[in-house]
Amino acid sequence: MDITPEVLETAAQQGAKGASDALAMMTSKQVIVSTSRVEELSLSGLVEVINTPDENNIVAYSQVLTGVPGAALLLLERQEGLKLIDLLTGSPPGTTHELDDMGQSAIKETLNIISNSHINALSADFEMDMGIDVPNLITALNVAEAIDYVAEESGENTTLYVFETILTVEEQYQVNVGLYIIFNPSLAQFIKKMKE
Amino acid sequence: MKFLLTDDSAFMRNILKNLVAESWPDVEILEAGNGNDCIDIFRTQHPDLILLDMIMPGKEGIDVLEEIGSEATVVVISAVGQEEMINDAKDLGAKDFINKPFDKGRVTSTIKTVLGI
Repeated sequence: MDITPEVLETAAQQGAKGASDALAMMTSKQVIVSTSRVEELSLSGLVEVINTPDENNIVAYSQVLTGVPGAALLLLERQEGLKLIDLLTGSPPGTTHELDDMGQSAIKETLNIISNSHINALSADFEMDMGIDVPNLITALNVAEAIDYVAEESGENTTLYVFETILTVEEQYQVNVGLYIIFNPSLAQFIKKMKE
Repeated sequence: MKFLLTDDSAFMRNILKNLVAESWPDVEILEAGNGNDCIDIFRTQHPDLILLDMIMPGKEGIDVLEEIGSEATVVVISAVGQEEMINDAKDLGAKDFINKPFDKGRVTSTIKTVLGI
Protein backbone atom coordinates (compact mmCIF):
# COMPACT_ATOMS: atom_id res chain seq x y z
CA MET A 1 0.00 0.00 0.00
CA ASP A 2 1.04 3.65 -0.46
CA ILE A 3 1.95 5.22 2.85
CA THR A 4 0.77 8.75 2.18
CA PRO A 5 0.77 11.61 4.72
CA GLU A 6 -2.97 11.00 5.16
CA VAL A 7 -2.37 7.32 6.00
CA LEU A 8 0.34 8.33 8.49
CA GLU A 9 -1.93 10.90 10.12
CA THR A 10 -4.78 8.40 10.44
CA ALA A 11 -2.38 5.82 11.87
CA ALA A 12 -1.10 8.36 14.42
CA GLN A 13 -4.63 9.17 15.56
CA GLN A 14 -5.69 5.55 15.78
CA GLY A 15 -2.45 4.53 17.48
CA ALA A 16 -2.87 7.31 20.06
CA LYS A 17 -6.43 6.20 20.73
CA GLY A 18 -5.27 2.61 21.22
CA ALA A 19 -2.55 3.73 23.64
CA SER A 20 -4.94 6.04 25.49
CA ASP A 21 -7.60 3.34 25.89
CA ALA A 22 -4.94 0.92 27.13
CA LEU A 23 -3.58 3.34 29.75
CA ALA A 24 -7.12 4.19 30.89
CA MET A 25 -7.81 0.50 31.41
CA MET A 26 -4.52 -0.04 33.26
CA THR A 27 -5.05 2.90 35.61
CA SER A 28 -8.86 2.84 35.84
CA LYS A 29 -8.69 6.60 35.30
CA GLN A 30 -9.73 8.95 32.54
CA VAL A 31 -6.87 9.48 30.09
CA ILE A 32 -6.81 12.17 27.43
CA VAL A 33 -4.63 12.40 24.36
CA SER A 34 -2.84 15.75 24.82
CA THR A 35 -0.68 15.38 21.70
CA SER A 36 -0.86 13.03 18.76
CA ARG A 37 1.20 13.62 15.66
CA VAL A 38 3.55 12.04 13.18
CA GLU A 39 6.45 13.95 11.71
CA GLU A 40 9.56 13.39 9.67
CA LEU A 41 12.21 14.99 11.85
CA SER A 42 15.90 15.72 11.67
CA LEU A 43 18.03 14.56 14.60
CA SER A 44 17.99 18.04 16.07
CA GLY A 45 14.22 18.09 15.59
CA LEU A 46 13.95 14.82 17.52
CA VAL A 47 16.06 16.23 20.35
CA GLU A 48 13.71 19.20 20.51
CA VAL A 49 10.60 16.99 20.58
CA ILE A 50 11.81 14.63 23.29
CA ASN A 51 13.16 17.61 25.20
CA THR A 52 16.51 16.00 26.05
CA PRO A 53 15.75 13.73 28.99
CA ASP A 54 17.94 14.08 32.08
CA GLU A 55 18.25 12.41 35.48
CA ASN A 56 14.84 13.84 36.39
CA ASN A 57 13.21 11.63 33.78
CA ILE A 58 12.32 7.97 33.67
CA VAL A 59 12.95 6.50 30.22
CA ALA A 60 11.98 3.03 29.00
CA TYR A 61 12.72 1.72 25.53
CA SER A 62 12.02 -1.21 23.32
CA GLN A 63 13.16 -2.25 19.87
CA VAL A 64 10.59 -2.53 17.08
CA LEU A 65 11.27 -6.10 16.01
CA THR A 66 9.34 -6.68 12.84
CA GLY A 67 8.03 -4.52 10.06
CA VAL A 68 9.94 -1.22 9.91
CA PRO A 69 13.10 -0.95 12.08
CA GLY A 70 12.87 1.48 14.95
CA ALA A 71 12.27 1.91 18.65
CA ALA A 72 9.58 2.81 21.13
CA LEU A 73 10.38 5.20 24.00
CA LEU A 74 8.36 5.98 27.10
CA LEU A 75 9.29 9.24 28.79
CA LEU A 76 8.07 10.51 32.14
CA GLU A 77 9.07 13.19 34.58
CA ARG A 78 10.43 11.25 37.57
CA GLN A 79 7.82 12.50 40.06
CA GLU A 80 5.01 11.80 37.60
CA GLY A 81 6.47 8.33 36.98
CA LEU A 82 6.28 7.63 40.71
CA LYS A 83 2.65 8.82 40.71
CA LEU A 84 1.94 6.51 37.77
CA ILE A 85 3.32 3.59 39.79
CA ASP A 86 0.91 4.50 42.61
CA LEU A 87 -1.92 4.39 40.11
CA LEU A 88 -0.86 1.10 38.56
CA THR A 89 -0.40 -0.60 41.90
CA GLY A 90 -3.62 0.80 43.36
CA SER A 91 -1.76 2.80 46.03
CA PRO A 92 -2.81 6.25 47.30
CA PRO A 93 -1.02 9.19 45.59
CA GLY A 94 2.38 9.88 47.18
CA THR A 95 3.01 6.31 48.32
CA THR A 96 5.92 5.55 45.96
CA HIS A 97 9.12 7.50 46.65
CA GLU A 98 11.69 5.30 44.93
CA LEU A 99 11.85 3.46 41.65
CA ASP A 100 12.24 -0.04 43.14
CA ASP A 101 12.16 -3.33 41.22
CA MET A 102 8.36 -3.58 41.17
CA GLY A 103 8.08 0.06 40.09
CA GLN A 104 10.56 -0.52 37.28
CA SER A 105 8.59 -3.56 36.22
CA ALA A 106 5.35 -1.52 36.21
CA ILE A 107 6.92 1.20 34.02
CA LYS A 108 8.31 -1.38 31.57
CA GLU A 109 4.96 -3.16 31.37
CA THR A 110 3.27 0.18 30.72
CA LEU A 111 5.55 0.70 27.72
CA ASN A 112 4.89 -2.87 26.60
CA ILE A 113 1.14 -2.50 26.73
CA ILE A 114 0.62 1.03 25.41
CA SER A 115 3.24 0.78 22.65
CA ASN A 116 1.77 -2.53 21.49
CA SER A 117 -1.69 -0.95 21.52
CA HIS A 118 -0.31 1.87 19.36
CA ILE A 119 1.66 -0.45 17.11
CA ASN A 120 -1.30 -2.80 16.62
CA ALA A 121 -3.13 0.17 15.07
CA LEU A 122 -0.13 1.10 12.90
CA SER A 123 0.17 -2.51 11.82
CA ALA A 124 -3.45 -2.57 10.69
CA ASP A 125 -3.12 0.75 8.83
CA PHE A 126 0.17 -0.16 7.15
CA GLU A 127 -0.95 -3.74 6.46
CA MET A 128 2.26 -5.23 7.88
CA ASP A 129 3.22 -7.27 10.93
CA MET A 130 4.88 -5.15 13.60
CA GLY A 131 5.89 -5.94 17.15
CA ILE A 132 8.19 -4.83 19.91
CA ASP A 133 10.81 -6.61 21.97
CA VAL A 134 11.04 -6.87 25.76
CA PRO A 135 11.19 -3.33 27.27
CA ASN A 136 14.05 -2.04 29.41
CA LEU A 137 14.87 1.12 31.33
CA ILE A 138 17.64 3.41 30.14
CA THR A 139 19.35 6.53 31.38
CA ALA A 140 19.40 9.98 29.83
CA LEU A 141 23.03 9.25 28.91
CA ASN A 142 21.89 6.27 26.80
CA VAL A 143 19.47 8.53 24.92
CA ALA A 144 22.28 10.97 24.15
CA GLU A 145 24.48 8.05 23.02
CA ALA A 146 21.69 6.80 20.75
CA ILE A 147 21.42 10.19 19.09
CA ASP A 148 25.20 10.36 18.62
CA TYR A 149 25.20 6.84 17.16
CA VAL A 150 22.46 7.67 14.64
CA ALA A 151 24.37 10.84 13.63
CA GLU A 152 27.58 8.84 13.13
CA GLU A 153 25.95 5.97 11.22
CA SER A 154 23.47 7.88 9.08
CA GLY A 155 24.88 11.42 9.08
CA GLU A 156 23.64 14.59 10.72
CA ASN A 157 21.09 15.09 7.95
CA THR A 158 19.33 11.80 8.45
CA THR A 159 15.62 11.90 9.14
CA LEU A 160 13.42 9.88 11.46
CA TYR A 161 9.67 9.22 11.36
CA VAL A 162 8.38 9.98 14.83
CA PHE A 163 4.92 9.13 16.16
CA GLU A 164 4.53 11.30 19.24
CA THR A 165 1.72 10.66 21.71
CA ILE A 166 1.34 12.47 25.00
CA LEU A 167 -1.24 10.96 27.30
CA THR A 168 -2.49 12.74 30.40
CA VAL A 169 -3.99 10.87 33.32
CA GLU A 170 -6.46 13.27 34.88
CA GLU A 171 -7.94 13.78 38.33
CA GLN A 172 -5.59 14.40 41.25
CA TYR A 173 -2.75 12.52 39.61
CA GLN A 174 -1.99 14.72 36.57
CA VAL A 175 0.54 12.37 35.04
CA ASN A 176 1.86 13.01 31.53
CA VAL A 177 3.12 9.95 29.70
CA GLY A 178 5.15 10.53 26.52
CA LEU A 179 5.19 7.68 24.00
CA TYR A 180 7.50 8.03 21.00
CA ILE A 181 7.58 5.42 18.27
CA ILE A 182 10.57 6.28 16.13
CA PHE A 183 11.40 4.62 12.83
CA ASN A 184 15.05 4.74 11.81
CA PRO A 185 17.34 1.80 10.95
CA SER A 186 20.39 3.21 12.79
CA LEU A 187 18.37 3.77 15.95
CA ALA A 188 17.11 0.18 15.78
CA GLN A 189 20.73 -0.95 15.31
CA PHE A 190 21.84 1.02 18.40
CA ILE A 191 19.09 -0.53 20.51
CA LYS A 192 20.07 -4.00 19.29
CA LYS A 193 23.74 -3.36 20.14
CA MET A 194 22.82 -2.02 23.57
CA LYS A 195 20.90 -5.25 24.27
CA GLU A 196 23.90 -7.37 23.32
CA MET B 1 -5.16 -27.17 41.54
CA LYS B 2 -1.99 -25.42 40.41
CA PHE B 3 -1.75 -22.44 38.05
CA LEU B 4 1.57 -21.42 36.49
CA LEU B 5 1.85 -17.69 35.76
CA THR B 6 4.50 -17.04 33.11
CA ASP B 7 5.42 -13.44 32.37
CA ASP B 8 8.77 -11.64 32.43
CA SER B 9 7.05 -8.73 34.17
CA ALA B 10 6.96 -9.17 37.95
CA PHE B 11 4.34 -6.41 38.00
CA MET B 12 2.06 -8.40 35.66
CA ARG B 13 2.63 -11.63 37.58
CA ASN B 14 1.59 -9.77 40.71
CA ILE B 15 -1.66 -8.60 39.11
CA LEU B 16 -2.44 -12.13 37.92
CA LYS B 17 -1.46 -13.61 41.28
CA ASN B 18 -3.90 -11.31 43.11
CA LEU B 19 -6.62 -12.01 40.57
CA VAL B 20 -6.26 -15.79 40.92
CA ALA B 21 -5.99 -15.63 44.73
CA GLU B 22 -9.18 -13.54 44.94
CA SER B 23 -11.18 -15.91 42.74
CA TRP B 24 -9.65 -19.26 43.75
CA PRO B 25 -8.02 -18.95 47.20
CA ASP B 26 -7.14 -22.66 47.27
CA VAL B 27 -5.21 -22.67 44.00
CA GLU B 28 -1.45 -23.09 44.35
CA ILE B 29 0.29 -20.39 42.34
CA LEU B 30 3.57 -21.10 40.57
CA GLU B 31 5.57 -18.43 38.76
CA ALA B 32 8.00 -18.32 35.85
CA GLY B 33 9.75 -15.23 34.46
CA ASN B 34 10.69 -16.77 31.13
CA GLY B 35 9.88 -19.58 28.73
CA ASN B 36 12.65 -21.92 29.87
CA ASP B 37 11.50 -21.83 33.49
CA CYS B 38 7.90 -22.27 32.34
CA ILE B 39 8.76 -25.53 30.56
CA ASP B 40 10.87 -26.78 33.48
CA ILE B 41 8.11 -26.06 36.00
CA PHE B 42 5.48 -27.62 33.72
CA ARG B 43 7.54 -30.83 33.49
CA THR B 44 8.16 -31.09 37.25
CA GLN B 45 5.06 -29.56 38.86
CA HIS B 46 2.36 -30.43 36.29
CA PRO B 47 0.17 -27.32 36.68
CA ASP B 48 -3.48 -27.55 35.65
CA LEU B 49 -3.26 -24.24 33.78
CA ILE B 50 -0.55 -22.02 32.35
CA LEU B 51 -1.17 -18.31 31.79
CA LEU B 52 1.50 -17.45 29.22
CA ASP B 53 2.98 -14.18 27.97
CA MET B 54 4.30 -14.17 24.40
CA ILE B 55 7.29 -11.79 24.27
CA MET B 56 9.87 -12.74 26.89
CA PRO B 57 13.65 -12.93 27.09
CA GLY B 58 15.05 -16.33 26.05
CA LYS B 59 12.33 -18.75 25.01
CA GLU B 60 9.25 -16.80 23.96
CA GLY B 61 5.65 -17.83 24.41
CA ILE B 62 5.45 -19.25 20.91
CA ASP B 63 8.50 -21.48 21.63
CA VAL B 64 6.84 -22.70 24.81
CA LEU B 65 3.69 -23.58 22.86
CA GLU B 66 5.75 -25.43 20.27
CA GLU B 67 7.22 -27.60 23.03
CA ILE B 68 4.31 -28.19 25.38
CA GLY B 69 1.21 -26.71 23.69
CA SER B 70 -0.20 -30.13 22.91
CA GLU B 71 0.23 -31.41 26.49
CA ALA B 72 -0.50 -28.35 28.63
CA THR B 73 -3.63 -26.27 29.14
CA VAL B 74 -2.46 -22.83 28.11
CA VAL B 75 -4.18 -19.45 27.93
CA VAL B 76 -2.07 -16.73 26.32
CA ILE B 77 -2.13 -13.24 27.84
CA SER B 78 -0.20 -10.81 25.66
CA ALA B 79 -0.07 -7.19 24.52
CA VAL B 80 0.62 -8.36 20.97
CA GLY B 81 -2.81 -8.49 19.44
CA GLN B 82 -2.08 -9.14 15.79
CA GLU B 83 -4.17 -11.78 14.06
CA GLU B 84 -1.24 -13.85 12.85
CA MET B 85 0.21 -14.34 16.33
CA ILE B 86 -3.21 -15.16 17.79
CA ASN B 87 -3.77 -17.79 15.09
CA ASP B 88 -0.26 -19.24 15.51
CA ALA B 89 -0.79 -19.55 19.27
CA LYS B 90 -4.14 -21.27 18.83
CA ASP B 91 -2.73 -23.58 16.15
CA LEU B 92 -0.06 -24.63 18.65
CA GLY B 93 -2.62 -25.53 21.29
CA ALA B 94 -3.44 -22.33 23.20
CA LYS B 95 -7.01 -22.56 24.44
CA ASP B 96 -7.60 -18.81 24.27
CA PHE B 97 -5.77 -15.52 23.71
CA ILE B 98 -6.42 -12.54 25.99
CA ASN B 99 -5.10 -9.11 25.07
CA LYS B 100 -3.34 -6.87 27.58
CA PRO B 101 -4.61 -4.71 29.13
CA PHE B 102 -7.35 -7.05 30.22
CA ASP B 103 -10.58 -6.84 32.07
CA LYS B 104 -10.27 -9.05 35.17
CA GLY B 105 -13.66 -10.61 34.44
CA ARG B 106 -12.43 -11.70 31.01
CA VAL B 107 -9.55 -13.59 32.62
CA THR B 108 -11.66 -15.32 35.26
CA SER B 109 -14.41 -16.27 32.80
CA THR B 110 -11.82 -17.70 30.39
CA ILE B 111 -10.22 -19.76 33.16
CA LYS B 112 -13.64 -21.07 34.21
CA THR B 113 -14.50 -22.04 30.65
CA VAL B 114 -11.15 -23.63 29.88
CA LEU B 115 -11.00 -25.66 33.10
CA GLY B 116 -14.74 -26.26 33.40
CA ILE B 117 -14.80 -24.95 36.99
